[in-house]
Amino acid sequence: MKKKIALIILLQLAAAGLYAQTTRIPDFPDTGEDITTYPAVEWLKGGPITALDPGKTYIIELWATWCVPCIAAMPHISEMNEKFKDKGIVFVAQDALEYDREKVVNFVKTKAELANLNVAFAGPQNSDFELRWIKAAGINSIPQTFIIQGNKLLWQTTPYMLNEKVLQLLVDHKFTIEAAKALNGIKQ
Amino acid sequence: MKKTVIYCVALTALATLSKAQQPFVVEGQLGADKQGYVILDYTSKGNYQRDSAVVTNGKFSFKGVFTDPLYAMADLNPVRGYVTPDKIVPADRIKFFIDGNISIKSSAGLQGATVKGGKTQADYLKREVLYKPLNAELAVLSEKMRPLYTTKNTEAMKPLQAQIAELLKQAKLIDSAFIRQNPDSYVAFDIWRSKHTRGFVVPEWRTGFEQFSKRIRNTYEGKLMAEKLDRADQLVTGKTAPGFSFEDVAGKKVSLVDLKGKNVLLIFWQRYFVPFETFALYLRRAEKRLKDKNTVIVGISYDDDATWRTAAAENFPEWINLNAGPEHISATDMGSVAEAYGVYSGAHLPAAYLISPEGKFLTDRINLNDTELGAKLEKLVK
Repeated sequence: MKKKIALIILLQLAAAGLYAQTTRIPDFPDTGEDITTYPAVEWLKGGPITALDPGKTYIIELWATWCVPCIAAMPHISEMNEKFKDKGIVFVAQDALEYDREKVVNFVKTKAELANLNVAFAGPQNSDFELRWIKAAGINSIPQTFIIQGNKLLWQTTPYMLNEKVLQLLVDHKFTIEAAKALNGIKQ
Repeated sequence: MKKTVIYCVALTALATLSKAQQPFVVEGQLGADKQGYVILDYTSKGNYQRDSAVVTNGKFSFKGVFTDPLYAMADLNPVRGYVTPDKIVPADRIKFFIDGNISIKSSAGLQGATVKGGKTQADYLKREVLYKPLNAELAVLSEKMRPLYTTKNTEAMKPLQAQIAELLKQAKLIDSAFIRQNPDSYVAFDIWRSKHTRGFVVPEWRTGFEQFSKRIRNTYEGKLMAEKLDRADQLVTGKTAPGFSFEDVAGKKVSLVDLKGKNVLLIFWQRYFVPFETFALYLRRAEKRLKDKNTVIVGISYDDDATWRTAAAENFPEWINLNAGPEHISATDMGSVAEAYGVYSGAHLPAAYLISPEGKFLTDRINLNDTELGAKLEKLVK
């Protein structure tokens, strides 16, 4: 009997190995495609967010303690949050691309701009967030901003592209990438 | 009459001769206590050359040939073999231009030696004089930076970094003024060229290139750049795409003409570059959007056969997968098709073009590292 169990476990391990080899992490949605859930993360402030509410707009801001431009963008994000949090827009400051929890926790404590935001830590290497978001979306640089509305990914951009007019487009459900770019002075 | 003819022939011969190889000699006399060897490095007509000479009581010499001036570096007793921390000594080297016979004189090592040669070397020294005050300031700043690096004092670094950035800006201004004032100097051309070696050659570079004299544009490197600029002019929206013909995974030849009537997204690629995963993801997304849009994706791979087959099957099973062949795996010889598309080395991979059903470019070369790649291509196809 014992032998049998050992054999089954071995077979299962072999199957798991094969599985790991042949399956790729599903691609992160392209703009316009569905996105309904948020990966498992550790919420340091606010949250938790797991299922994405189709009635809400989410602005996910990727940052790290080592990322100077991310930190430089925080006051701006905080200001946008103050102006739009009551208009159905949920801001998430998602720490990623670093694994030192202690460092992140301490940083969040000292940063006044993060006080009123939802702040999450992705977790250790190969965390749910790293696999389903960072790796699946091929992200190798930050800051990056993801705008989700009505359970669809609308835009993968940077915090510099967010301003009151762009956010108003989202509130009015009139958002298009072209319109947002035009508001940033980018000609198509 | 006869005399004139002979005279003309002589002139033509002279002109040819002036472009032919000429011998050079580098004579060195360092401090009499210097023994060992000197390594001389330079690149001649795209070929890297390395020579060495014995140093006896400070004396050494090199012989060689040149057509255009050679930017050279001499190194006295560099560390041989595998470098371990205990072997590291400050390099004793000097850079100069070989454009005839060169004399290197010093009472110590190579660093700070007096190098005399022809006009190009004189130009090079002229530029060094312009750089001298900047280099002195830079040395002071670097010395101040050093302890801050070890203590990771980023706040104290900031003002110093700003000062360094300012110096680099000044260096740029010195360079552009030097180029403007010396259109017939090979040194000026070399400075310009060093700023135009990375990335794809684009038509916008032409204005800068045409600042130089005809003599400079007729050097080996000058002609090479002129050729690339002419080609770049042909790789823009509306121009006819160059043909190609390679074997697919089944060994069947596929040519661009076979694909007439369809949009062709043409990708030059290789498995091992960073970030391959992002590249593959963006193209998988683009593929989804182009599925019902009369478009085929053609990948020309510069990998060995096995790597190509595995990577293509794993990532791009729906593409027409072609391989450039085993003779073009190296980073330097990409073959005539890649060259026709302005892809000159492995560093240019991946590169992509969108071709209309009539065989014309629908847009200039495509930026693949773009989260909106699929949406952009979708709008461009016919």
